[in-house]
Amino acid sequence: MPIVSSKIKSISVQIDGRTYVTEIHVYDNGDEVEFTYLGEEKDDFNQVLKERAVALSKETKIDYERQKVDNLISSFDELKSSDFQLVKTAVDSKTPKGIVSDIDSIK
Amino acid sequence: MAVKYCRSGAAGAGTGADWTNAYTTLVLAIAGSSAGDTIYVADDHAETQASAMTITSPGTAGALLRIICVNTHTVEPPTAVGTTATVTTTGSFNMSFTSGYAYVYGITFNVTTGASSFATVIASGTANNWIFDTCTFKNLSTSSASMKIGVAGFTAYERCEFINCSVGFNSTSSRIAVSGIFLWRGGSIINSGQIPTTLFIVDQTIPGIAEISDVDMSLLGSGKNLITASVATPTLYYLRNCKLGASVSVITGTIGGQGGVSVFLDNCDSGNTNYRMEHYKYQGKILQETTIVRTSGASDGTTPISHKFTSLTTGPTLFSPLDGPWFAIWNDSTGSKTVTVQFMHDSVTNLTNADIYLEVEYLGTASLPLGVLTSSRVADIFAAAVDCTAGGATWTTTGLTNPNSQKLTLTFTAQIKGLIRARVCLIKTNYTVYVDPLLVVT
Repeated sequence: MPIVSSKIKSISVQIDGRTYVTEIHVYDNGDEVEFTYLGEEKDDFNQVLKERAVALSKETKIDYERQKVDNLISSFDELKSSDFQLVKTAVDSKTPKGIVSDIDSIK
Repeated sequence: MAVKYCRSGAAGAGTGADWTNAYTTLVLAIAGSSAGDTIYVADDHAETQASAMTITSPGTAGALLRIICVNTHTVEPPTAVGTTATVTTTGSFNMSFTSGYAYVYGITFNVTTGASSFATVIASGTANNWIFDTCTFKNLSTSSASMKIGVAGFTAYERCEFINCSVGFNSTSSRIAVSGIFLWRGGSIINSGQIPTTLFIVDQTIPGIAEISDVDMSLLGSGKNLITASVATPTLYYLRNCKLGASVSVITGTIGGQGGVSVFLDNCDSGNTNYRMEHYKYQGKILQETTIVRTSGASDGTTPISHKFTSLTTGPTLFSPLDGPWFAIWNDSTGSKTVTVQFMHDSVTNLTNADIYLEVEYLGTASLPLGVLTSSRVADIFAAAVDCTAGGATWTTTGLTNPNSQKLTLTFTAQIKGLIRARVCLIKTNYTVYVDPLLVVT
């Protein structure tokens, strides 16, 4: 999910010169995510905002791929031995021997 | 309570009886040990395994297995601890510390150079308590390999403790996934190739408590986050007296409900302060504030401090407010007491006791330490709200358009001496209030 808009919601300068910055980023499905950090005086808050938006878009893509892998692993975990046998029997009659051996090794 | 020896370079009988006949791997040494035994690991122990490593301790809750790196591979018995032993898994192979109870000292664990979903897995078996002292974990996978703590289930007695331990990763997507009880006291995040974008996440299904104190996390700076908050699993994070990176964001993601993640960060900073606090809950956040403060209010002796409460639009309700930290003050006499807390907000319209209230816990039972909880909140949903009293206090109000000073008071009868605890609770949604955390008791 890409980030479609980002803005600085609030800034609050502290006595030591640092600034509390709150950002809001909006995903393309409308979900919002908020970040608060205590920024240094030298920080370019708009640049931080932009870089975070790019990182969030990238991160959600990685999370999506990770979730797909986790789901795949879970689906294998849920298969019982009998299921494997059914799959093997079904595949055995239609595929070259090498692929059946691969299924055996997965099991 | 036997003593065993472990040294990768030993070429003897492998009985573990002495350095010459030492076990050559940690797994073999543990397999040959019993509850309460001590395994001495040689200073030059450098074990490498190109397959998954599963370490199960025979130790019990009352008799931990002790695995100690020592400063020798010749002296028997050794007389001093060491920190130079290494245990390594190469390829896509995890290192798992599963069931059992153990104390481990001074070993560097290099885990998984290949792709693996979880590199280091600790406290993953039923009934365990793994204590690592002065150890280093380098999760070296360039994939999103993480350190996963506590994964067996709700009834597993899962506990993992790091004492002066260092943890490093080699992927920005890696993180420490916490469930069960995780205590980390002293140590640091080190650079083992990459710094994670976000350091902690909750395991998806099992609640956890993570207490992290005295840890240097300063490598996570601008653009990094400490905790993923958008997970449905109840987990409490306590971070105290830690060194942070400049401009790090404490949480990422939205807390989905009152039973989700809560974060309590106290006295952690990248700079020379001793007052920074950031608390995050479903209802909102509470941060320390050093500009909008009350004159003669709370201070660390140099810097005046207030607490900035910011509630979310869909956050607090009358019965589930944004509750602030408890303040405690010693009460040295019995009888009628009045507690007062000042606050500031930006509106000409007064806040009422249906918007904000004070909660006080006092010792109101004669001859017993049985506390009594009292509140200035509107009594129930049918009662009429009443304006909070005008504060009459002087505040620095930089940036406020309509500064409005009000106060919260509660009067009660203390029956015995002891601590009075109080906290402010904000009900009003999507609102900001500055609270002076200086309790005044009269």
